[in-house]
Amino acid sequence: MRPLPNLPFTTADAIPAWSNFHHIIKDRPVAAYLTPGAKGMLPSGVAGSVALARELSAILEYCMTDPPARLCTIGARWSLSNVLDPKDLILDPGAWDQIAAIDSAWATPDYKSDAAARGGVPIVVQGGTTIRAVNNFLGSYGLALQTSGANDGHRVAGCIATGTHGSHLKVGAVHDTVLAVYLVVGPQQAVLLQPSSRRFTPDLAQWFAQQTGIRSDDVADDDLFNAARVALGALGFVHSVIIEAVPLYQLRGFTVARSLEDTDVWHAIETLDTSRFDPTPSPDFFTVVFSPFATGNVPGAFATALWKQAPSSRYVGPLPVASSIATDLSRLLSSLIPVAENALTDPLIGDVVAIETAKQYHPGPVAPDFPGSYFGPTSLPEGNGRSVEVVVDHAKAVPAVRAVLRALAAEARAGRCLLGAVGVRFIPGSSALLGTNIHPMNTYIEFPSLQTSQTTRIHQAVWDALRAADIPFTCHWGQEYGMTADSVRAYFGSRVDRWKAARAKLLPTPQQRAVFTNPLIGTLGLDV
Amino acid sequence: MSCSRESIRLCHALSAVLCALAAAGCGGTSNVVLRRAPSADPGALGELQRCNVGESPCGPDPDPDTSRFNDSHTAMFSLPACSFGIEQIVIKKVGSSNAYADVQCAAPPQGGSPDGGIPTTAAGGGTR
Repeated sequence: MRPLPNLPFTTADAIPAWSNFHHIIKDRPVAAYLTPGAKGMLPSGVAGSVALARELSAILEYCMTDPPARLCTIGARWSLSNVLDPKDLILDPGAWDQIAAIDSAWATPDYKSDAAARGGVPIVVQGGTTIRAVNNFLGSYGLALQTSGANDGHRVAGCIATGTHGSHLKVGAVHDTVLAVYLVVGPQQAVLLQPSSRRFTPDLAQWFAQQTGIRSDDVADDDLFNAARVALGALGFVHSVIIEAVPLYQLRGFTVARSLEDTDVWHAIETLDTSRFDPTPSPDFFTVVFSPFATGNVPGAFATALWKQAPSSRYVGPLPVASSIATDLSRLLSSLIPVAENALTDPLIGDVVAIETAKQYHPGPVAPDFPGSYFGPTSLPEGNGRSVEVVVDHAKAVPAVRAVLRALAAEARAGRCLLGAVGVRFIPGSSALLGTNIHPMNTYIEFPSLQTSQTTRIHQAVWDALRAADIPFTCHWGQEYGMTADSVRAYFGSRVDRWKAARAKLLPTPQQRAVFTNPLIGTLGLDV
Repeated sequence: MSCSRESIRLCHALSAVLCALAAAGCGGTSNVVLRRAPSADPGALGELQRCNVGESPCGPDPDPDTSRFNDSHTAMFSLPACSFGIEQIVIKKVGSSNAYADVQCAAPPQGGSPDGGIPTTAAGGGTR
């Protein structure tokens, strides 16, 4: 590797064996793990932001000098796909952790009018900020994210780059709450992307230019913006995103425990009508967790519906491990670790998984809880997890979920038991080009588990079952996946070409594209 | 722009602990390590800082050796994940087998309403 440039505020450490959180990517030698802001003392205020941007520009200039060097910008390392499989260089963006509201004078009249009904407040969040920090910041000012994933450890840029979606029936995924994206695409080159129906006046791009010392173009272009909302780490360095926050709320609702074949549960999956459980109409969040090996009196389906309500208490952040098991399947996995370690004989494992699952899900009311607590920290320790999440058109939800459950049951009968459960969530469609929620309503079927020697084969069996049932699907970009370049093109159609065209426009030189790439987009035919 | 920096608060807290240890006259008899829970995702590890008695600002430690955190005769404490950082820590009964740490989490930043104290972008860069 060529010698690095002088980086006064950046540590550069050789790491002989780097792994992602779940150790799907394992023991990669990394020549330079770059952490801007970790060396010396950055100046305070704008001077510090400019100094940080100068470090970034120097790193990009180094990377784009021939022969170009791929730069892997990590988030929380949670992704299970190869989107974060590094080469020589990793960039840790943790120093980009600032949050601020945007001057309301910089919002366009059209946007203000649109946002007023929901009390929307545009917030600029730097890409290295964790969702937990955002929740706590917003909560302390009486605001909240509209939706998030099931846990809060993601960094914002990684969260949206892979299409993290949550379970909000009306809002969509996290990327659907993004109003603009500020990308650094090269040394001293940046662009603020927003839709053609502008949300912000040129003041915002000018502010970024002053904040970074980087020339910042103000571009209102639907395809560029919609590409950048799910960028797969391949459109530049996500310096900041502008997210629309809303007035702080709490969640209240219920969880019911039913049998695997309960008709009310399947009716709710098909119609998203939860009135057979609770007459209150139109929940904001709805999730079903299936325990695929439940038999007899052991519940096999846990349905949770939640409604937003005005806060009944002052905001408090989450306890260290306090997210709700109803959405946090990782807590179930933690509880299953002793099962795996005890190496029970195969015929018993399904029963034990079912019993452990039932222990984790308590039917009854969900007390009012702030979203940052309900979708809070995870207890899953590092290195044990595997997970796949398939996405289908909601019109195919029932046959798809049934196909997944049948495939898992068949695998278990063959002695290959998934050490986990199945989560089913629903979100509406998105204009983000590679958002996985391309249909008017979308069903996400996730089957996280502990790692065993049989897990890969189980995943394959589920994908095969969906294909055999002629159910088109794609997979979460940040999880293990069963797509090919052909299947991605078939699922996303012309969105693939528009995303690639946007990439070519944002990164016009081969050097830029060589720096901002990764094995995921290479494997799936997006890196051309 | 504004955001709480937990590491800075923790650094202040560690200074207070070192002061307490020095005041107790037990420096050198044992070590105390205060750290995030081992099960927490550590993320990237930042640089080492040295904090001295007297609450002077901490500064970079040129010695990169992190084995000091695993010395023998070391009492290990896992710190809580306070939402807004740590305000202060006191370790009681230092050097005894029943030593314990009391930790006070920092309060949320004061603000109140979106129209009030929330940091907001300002012309010219930065926030107001």
